[in-house]
Amino acid sequence: MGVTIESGGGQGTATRPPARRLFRPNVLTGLVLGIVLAVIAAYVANAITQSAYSTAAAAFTAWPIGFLVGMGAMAYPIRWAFGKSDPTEEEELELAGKDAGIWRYFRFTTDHKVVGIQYLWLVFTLLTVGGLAAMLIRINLIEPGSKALAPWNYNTIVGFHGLAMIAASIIMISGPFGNFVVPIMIGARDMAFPRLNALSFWLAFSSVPVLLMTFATGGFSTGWTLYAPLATEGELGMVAINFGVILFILSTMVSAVNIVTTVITLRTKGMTWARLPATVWAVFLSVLLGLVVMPSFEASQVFTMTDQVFKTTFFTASGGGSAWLYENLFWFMGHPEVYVIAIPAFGVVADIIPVFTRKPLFGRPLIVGGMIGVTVISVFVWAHHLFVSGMAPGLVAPFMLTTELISIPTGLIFLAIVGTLWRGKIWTELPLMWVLAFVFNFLIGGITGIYLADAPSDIGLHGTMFVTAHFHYTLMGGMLMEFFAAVYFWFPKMFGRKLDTRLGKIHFWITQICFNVAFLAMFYSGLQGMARRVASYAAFLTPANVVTSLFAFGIGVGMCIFAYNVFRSLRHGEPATGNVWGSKTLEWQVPTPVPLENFTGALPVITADPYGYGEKDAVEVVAAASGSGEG
Amino acid sequence: MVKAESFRSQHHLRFVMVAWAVASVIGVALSVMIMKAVLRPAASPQMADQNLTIVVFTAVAVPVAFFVLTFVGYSVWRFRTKGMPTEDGPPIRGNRLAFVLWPSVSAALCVFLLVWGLYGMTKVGTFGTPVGQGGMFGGTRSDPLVVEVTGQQWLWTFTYPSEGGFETTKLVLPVDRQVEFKVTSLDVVHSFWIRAFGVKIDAVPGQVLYTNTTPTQLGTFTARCVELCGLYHAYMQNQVDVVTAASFAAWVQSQAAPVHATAVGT
Ligand SMILES: [Cu+2]
Repeated sequence: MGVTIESGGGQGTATRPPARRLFRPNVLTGLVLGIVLAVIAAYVANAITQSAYSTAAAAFTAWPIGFLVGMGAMAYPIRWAFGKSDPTEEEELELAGKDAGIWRYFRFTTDHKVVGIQYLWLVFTLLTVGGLAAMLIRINLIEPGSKALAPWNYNTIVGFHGLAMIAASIIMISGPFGNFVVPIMIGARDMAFPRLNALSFWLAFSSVPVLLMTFATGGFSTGWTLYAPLATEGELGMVAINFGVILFILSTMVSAVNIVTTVITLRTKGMTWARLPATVWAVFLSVLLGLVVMPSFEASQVFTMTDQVFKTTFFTASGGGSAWLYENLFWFMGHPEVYVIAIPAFGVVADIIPVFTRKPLFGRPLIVGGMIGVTVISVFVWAHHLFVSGMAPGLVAPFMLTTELISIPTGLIFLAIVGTLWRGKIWTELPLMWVLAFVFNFLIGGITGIYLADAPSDIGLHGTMFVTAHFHYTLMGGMLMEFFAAVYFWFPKMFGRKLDTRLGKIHFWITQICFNVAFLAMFYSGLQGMARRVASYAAFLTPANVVTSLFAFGIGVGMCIFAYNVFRSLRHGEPATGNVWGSKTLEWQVPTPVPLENFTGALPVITADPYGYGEKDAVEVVAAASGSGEG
Repeated sequence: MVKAESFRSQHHLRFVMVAWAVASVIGVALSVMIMKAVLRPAASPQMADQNLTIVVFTAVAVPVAFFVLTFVGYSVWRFRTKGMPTEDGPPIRGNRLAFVLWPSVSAALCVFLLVWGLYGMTKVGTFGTPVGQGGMFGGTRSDPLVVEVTGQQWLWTFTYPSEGGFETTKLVLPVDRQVEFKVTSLDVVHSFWIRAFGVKIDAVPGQVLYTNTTPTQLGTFTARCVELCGLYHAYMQNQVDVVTAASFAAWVQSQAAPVHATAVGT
């Protein structure tokens, strides 16, 4: 880790590459070995058990092992296990993608910036797949009677939309920006465990084909909540979902361990907890929370899988199991997971607003305290999803209390927004516009949550489209808008070019307007009594559903414009290699493209927090020169 | 200089507070009107309570939301710069009054929600326990008509044990008489919901859960499943008729034919 890379390091390496470089594992070798092993395992399992479930389970177990071995992920662990010499610094740098050009994105590359960009593309992919599923849902719901899709396909698509979007949301800030930006923000040269970092990405990557296999094996009818015993009724497509989720959760936990360790141990001199940027705090707390709650979901999926494949009865009443067990295992993750998604968005809000108002973050200790409060309380709220499940009435009141309590720390983020904007020099560039959209949408999302937190109103609204509209207002209107804020904000840092502002504004207005109309109409259908996740509905609900569908298609158009903007700007965008927005955080003080180990020469020493706008002893903003980096 | 600055700040603040007050008054009136128009009429006391809760929460929420929106809207309107700002804003890192007031008001609102919620719980019916049990949230038992509700993919069936134990797929209830539902499932988790009565409880395999209501309106309603239960979940709904006591007795007579054994409670 002590190596200092001169910027422009790409020029001096004229030495002949060693022989072993002729063949280097990459994603193609991974795919080949993964598929070969999966086919062999399936063949063997089928020959022994004659059961489609065991065959699927064997294939999905073999696939990630083959894929990761084929990627070369095991090369160093095996070398270490057999007592061979430690890798040299040169080998470490090669593993980090030095001089590998575009290929480093397709290999088991340890550089956190490469992993960050890989995650960004994974998020884009999941959002695209999930978004296409959403369009299909809205096509089917434009009229009653489920005319476009068979109910079976409809249920699978509803479930897949949920899973893809939840997966995307869990990683959409911690993945791309937690990896690319956070290590630079704290003044580190890389993550604490670079190999685990690469592993976390490729595990997440390997979960996507497994999830997609559900379409080839008959689909699943449970929705993303995967409730047992419906999940264990014998759908083969559920096995793919179980394994896909297991792999994905494994990836988030590996990543969480890495980010937590990095933030605790690799902060540069002077980067105290009190000076840590809000984004770092937020990502840290979010993954820490994930680390606490995700194992419960992992267990629920293992149990569902064994109930199906090995005929255990964890969730089957006739075998001594209970549907309530599943519900609690699931929601113990399911509600904190909303905050796993929300907290990074709060952090991004808190870091973007000061830059675009040229004012210090208002009430910084309250924001950090608020995020810690949310993290802690969120572990104690899960049963508010179960008010009508038959839980003891005596338990309803405490869970109502915790759910309402969490609005106090959550509300502090609005205090920070109001306080920082007040009398600022407000520069309404795209990142700030997305923050303002977050304010509006998340207010509605948060307030409608109160109707669901209070048992008397929840009894009527639980399980209706009101709930669907509510969590789309928080997750999509709130958090996804923050993802866009982050993309528009950090895109120049990651790619050296700005996203086009004009296209960005079209994307913004189409998305924000269509989103609000579509989901306000959905609140209306919910209040009128439309149940969630139904393929068909009563005729009198048609007008509201037509409105929701049409404006949902509008959101789809907005997303296409965004995709076009990304691809166009990557090649033709306005070059922006300096401190584009005049931010004081560290990642804007290093050159773009960022050199392989981030800081050329010594690590920076921090003397103040990054919010000292208008203060005399504030950190000076360095207009970072464009370095040639490692191209 | 300092004085002028603080005067301008006072001026801004006063303007926002007035704008907020005006917007809130109009907003509350408007939102209550809209909510009353959107919410469908209640056919039981529980549903009336739930509708009232939704209206009250809306009335409380509107000023809270408008507070944030007025401040943010005013800031963007008045403090916006043309292009990248050339100078920094005032270095305000906090305000003691705001730090105390903001969490205090949030906490007060939480207390209100909790108290309202607990009070509401004493009125909206039971949470799975038989009527009259379940402590302060159990309601009062007044000679209810017991109906056993069985969910299975993808149909509800109803059994009337006190009327001879016949089984139907249409739920018929006498008006103004308390009814207690004993709900279970034969396969996966369903959820039994009669929207007009404000009744909702999960049908859990291997468990019997209770809920109750008193229909107060004659008419035809729908009982449907609100927990995704597989292929034809969207179509899992049955007709509910609320009739006079006399018509109910006549209907029971007409149903009293053969008795089907059901697997309720197994
Ligand atoms: Cu059902």
